[in-house]
Amino acid sequence: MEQNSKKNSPPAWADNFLEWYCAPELLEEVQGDIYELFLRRCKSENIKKARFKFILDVFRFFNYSTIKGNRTFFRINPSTAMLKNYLKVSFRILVKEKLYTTVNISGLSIALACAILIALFVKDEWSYDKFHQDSDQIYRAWVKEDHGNNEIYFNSTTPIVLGQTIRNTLPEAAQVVRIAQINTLISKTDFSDNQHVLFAEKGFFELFNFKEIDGDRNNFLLQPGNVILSEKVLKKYFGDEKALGKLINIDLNGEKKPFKIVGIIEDAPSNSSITYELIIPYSNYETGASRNELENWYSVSVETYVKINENSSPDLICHKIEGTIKSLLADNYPQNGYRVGLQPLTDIHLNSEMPRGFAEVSDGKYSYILGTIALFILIVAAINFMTLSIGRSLSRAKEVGVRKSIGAKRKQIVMQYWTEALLTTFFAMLFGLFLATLCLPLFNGFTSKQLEIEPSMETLLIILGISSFTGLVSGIYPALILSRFTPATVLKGSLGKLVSGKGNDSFRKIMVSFQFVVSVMLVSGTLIIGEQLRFIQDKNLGYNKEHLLVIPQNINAGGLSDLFKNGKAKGQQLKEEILKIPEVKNASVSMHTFNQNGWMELGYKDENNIMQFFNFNVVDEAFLETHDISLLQGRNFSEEILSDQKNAMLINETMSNTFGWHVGDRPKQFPQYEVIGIVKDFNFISLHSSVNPVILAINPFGIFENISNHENSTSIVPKVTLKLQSKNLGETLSKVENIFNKIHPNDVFEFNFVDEALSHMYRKDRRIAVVLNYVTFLGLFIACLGLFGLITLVVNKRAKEFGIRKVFGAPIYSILIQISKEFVWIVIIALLIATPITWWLMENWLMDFSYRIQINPLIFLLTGFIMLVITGITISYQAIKAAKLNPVKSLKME
Amino acid sequence: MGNQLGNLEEMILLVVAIMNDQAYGVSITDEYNQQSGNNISLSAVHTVLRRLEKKGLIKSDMGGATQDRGGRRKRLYKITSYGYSTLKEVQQHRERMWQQIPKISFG
Repeated sequence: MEQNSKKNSPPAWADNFLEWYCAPELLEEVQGDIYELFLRRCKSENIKKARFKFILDVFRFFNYSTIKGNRTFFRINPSTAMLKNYLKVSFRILVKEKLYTTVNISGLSIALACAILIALFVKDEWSYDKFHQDSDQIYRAWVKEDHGNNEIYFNSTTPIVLGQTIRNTLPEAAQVVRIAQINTLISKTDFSDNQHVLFAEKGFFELFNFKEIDGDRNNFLLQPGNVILSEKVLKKYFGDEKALGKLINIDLNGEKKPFKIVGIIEDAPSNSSITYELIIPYSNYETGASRNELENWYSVSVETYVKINENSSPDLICHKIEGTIKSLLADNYPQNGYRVGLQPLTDIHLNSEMPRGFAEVSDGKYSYILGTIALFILIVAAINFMTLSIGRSLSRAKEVGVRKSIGAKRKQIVMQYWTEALLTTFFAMLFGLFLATLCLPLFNGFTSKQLEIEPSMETLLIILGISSFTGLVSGIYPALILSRFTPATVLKGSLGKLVSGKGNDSFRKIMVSFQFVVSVMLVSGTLIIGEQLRFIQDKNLGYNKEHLLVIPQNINAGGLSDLFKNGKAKGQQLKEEILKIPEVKNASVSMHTFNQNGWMELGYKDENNIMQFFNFNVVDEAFLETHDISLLQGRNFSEEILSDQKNAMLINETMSNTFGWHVGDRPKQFPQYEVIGIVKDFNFISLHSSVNPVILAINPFGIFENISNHENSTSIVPKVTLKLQSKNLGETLSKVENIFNKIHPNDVFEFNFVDEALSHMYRKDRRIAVVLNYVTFLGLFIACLGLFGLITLVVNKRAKEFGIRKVFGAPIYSILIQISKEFVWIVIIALLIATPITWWLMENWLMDFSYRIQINPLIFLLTGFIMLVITGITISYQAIKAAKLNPVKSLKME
Repeated sequence: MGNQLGNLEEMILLVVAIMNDQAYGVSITDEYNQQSGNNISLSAVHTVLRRLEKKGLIKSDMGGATQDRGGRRKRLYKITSYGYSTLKEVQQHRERMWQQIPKISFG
C-alpha cells in the first residue's frame, strides 16, 4: 500500500517548488487542479508520462499571476508599489540623461573600486592573528628593566625563566608557550639549505590553530628529535615524495643533528604574526643555551606567549609576576623596577610602539591614512553627484511640481531622489567591483599581500555598506533640497530664482572647493613624499653603497669567541682568494655589514655611573677603503703597525663629539685602546634614525671585557664584503662561488647586494608613495569628471547670456575669461585652505625621518599651477564650444 | 461596448455559464478543449479565470474536498449577472453585424 501510494505521487521537488512560488491564496486551488489531472493521467496513461506532465504543469503555472512575490510585494502593499515606481522613473532618467549618468557612474565606480581595494587592505591588516580560536585570551609578554640613569631595556623577547616562573606561580595563566628561532643549515643526503627554524614548547599546537595536514598534532612536539615541516618546505625538500617518518639534519650549536619528520602543517596564513618553516621542540633550544642564559633575568632571547583564564585580567597577572620577580631578584632588583607586561596577540601586528619581537610589524598609521584617503575619494565622487543633480534640478523641478500637485508627499520625493542615487551607486558598484578585480593583482604587487575578493557574507556586507553609504551621501542634498520646492512657485515659472538662488549657488561652490581642497592635498602630498623619498635615496650615506656584495658565512663552532675567531680566519682566507679575481676591486672582512640593521650595541657605565651606549663593529684594514668611508682625522688601521691588531680603535664623528674622545686618547673605559682616527659619520641604520656613536676595532675582546651590557640581534660571524668593478655579474659571481665552495665545502653560497637591501628597507615608504600616486591620479580624475559635468551645466545655463554678449561684440577670449574666472578663484581658495593642512600632515610624516627635507613652499605654488592647468584643460572644450557658438543658435534655444 | 472581452475570455466565460455549478479549473479546461477541439493548458485557463473574476464577470467559492485532489478543495466558478449581460451584449453585437452583411456579396 505504502509502495503503491508512493508510486502514485507526483515528483516531490516539483510539488515543493510549486508550494514555494505560488501565492498562498491560490495554492490550494492550483495544487488541487494539478493533482486531479495527475491522478487522472496516472490511470489513463502511464505513471512516467503523468509525472512528466505534472512537472510541465508546475512550470506552466510559474508565471506573473501566480508568483507569490509580485502579488504581496507590488500589488497589495502600496508603499512597495511606489518603490517600483521610483525604480522605474530613476531608471528612465538614468537612460535619458546619458552625460550625467556617465560622469556619475564612472566617477563613482572608480572611487568605489578604490574603496573596495583599500577596505580589503585594511581588513587584512586588522585581521592579523584573529584566526586563532582563543586569540582574545592570548598575550605576548614584554619586559622592561629600568636601572636608572638612562639605562632602560625594553624588549618583546623575554628571559627564558619568565615562562617557567609564570607557569609555576600563576594559576591564572592557563597556558604558557615559549618560542625561539634561529636560521640554520638544513641538510639531507642530496642537498642543503639555509632555513628558519622555530623552537616551540609543547602547548604550541593547542594554543595556536595552525592546521596540520599530516600526522597527529598531539604528538608533534613530544620527542626532542621530532620536526614538523610547513607545506612549502615539504615541497621544496621532498617534492611529491612522502616525507613522514624520514630524517633530515639540522645544524644546532655547530652540530649536525638528525630529526624525524612527524608532521606536516599548512603554511602560516599570510595574516599570522608567527611564521614558521620548520618547527622543532623547544627543549633543543635550552640544550644549546648557556647557564647564564637559562637562569638570568637580564638576558632576553625567547618570546613568551600566555593564555590567561577568562575571568582573569592581564594587569592582575603582570602585577603578581612583578612581585614574584622582585622577591626572586632581591638585591639585584633594578633601581627603578622590573616591569612585565602582556600585549594582546592581536595587537602585535599594528602596534609599532612596542619593541619588535620575532614578527614583522606594520605601522597601523598607514591603515588609517589609506582609509581616510578612500573616504575622501568617495566623498569627491559623491560631490560630483550632488553638484550635478543641483544643476539638473532646473529641469527636474517641474517634475517635482507635478508630483506634488498630484499629491506626492515630501517624503516620497525624498525617496525618489534617494532611490535614484542608490540605483546609480549600485550600477557604479558593479563596475567598481569589476575594476577592483581587474586591478587586484597590481594592488597586491605593491602592497605585497595576497588579497582576494572572496565571495563571502562579510565581503558582501562590506560592499553593500560602502555603496549604500555612498548612495545615501550623494543623494542627501538633492533629496532634501529638491523636495522642498512648492508646486506653485515651480509651476508658475519663478523657478529660476529658486534653483540658481544664492544658497544653492554658494553651496555648489563650497562643494567644488572642497573637491579642489582634496585634490590639492593629494597632489602636494604626493609631491612632498616623492621628494623625501628621492632625498633618502640620494642621501649621502657616508659610504658608497654601489656595487657592494656581502657574502655571509656559516661557521660550526661551540663558543662565541671560537665562532668569531674561526669566522674571521675563514673570511680572511676567502677574501685573499677572491681578491685574485680582477673584477673585484676591494674586499673586507667585518662582523657587521651594511645590508643588515642591528649592529651590536654595547653599553658601559661612565664615571658618573650613567649608562653610555654605542654601536660596535669588528673590521679589518680594508674596511674604510672598501666602503669609501672617509677619514677626518688621524689614520686608518695599518698592517705595518703591529699594535693596531690589538690596541687600536677608530671612532666616528658622533662618538668624538658626544664622548669628547680625540685622536691619541686612551679612553678611561678601554685603557688598552688608543683612538687612532676619527671617521666621517656613516649611516648603518635606516634614515628614519640618526647616527649613533660607533667604535670600529680589529680586536673585539678588549672591548667586550669592559662593557656592562650588550645587545645583538644579528649574527656575529664575520662576513666578507666585496667591492666590484661594476655590477656586471654572471661570471664574477660564479668565480666567487667556486672559491666559496672550496673554502666552505658544506655551506650554501649566499650573497646580498647592499643597495638592494637598502631599497628593501624603505619599501614601506615607497609602497605608500606608489599607492598615493595612483590614488592621487584617480582622485584628480574624478574631480575633473565632476568639473567637466559642472562646466557643461554652467555653459548651458549661461548660453543666452553669452549669445547676447557676442551680439554686442564681445570677443571670444572675453567670454572664455568669463567662464574661467569663477574656477580660478575656486582653485586659489582651495590652495589657501589646503596648504596649511597638508603642511601640518606632511610635517608629521616627515618627523619619522632623522634625515628629511624641509617643506618647500614652492611645492604648493607648483600644485596650484598644476591644478590651474588641469582645470583649464577640463573646461576648455566646453568653454570654447560655448564661446564659438553662433549667437543665433543660443538665443533661439529654449 | 464598455468591456473588452478577448476571444479566449469569452469562450471560457461561456463554458462557465454552461457548466453552472460544476465549473472549476480542471472541468473547465476539459469542457473547453472538448467543445473547441483545441488543447489548452490548465495554467492558461487559470490565468483567464483570474482575469474574469477581477473584471467581475464571474465569482467563485471554495467547494467540498474530494479524494482525487489529495484532499484539497475546488474553487467553483459561477457567472455573475453582469457576466451574463456582457455575454449577451457581445452576442447581440455580433448578431447586429451579421445582419449587415449584404447577401449579394457572396453571389
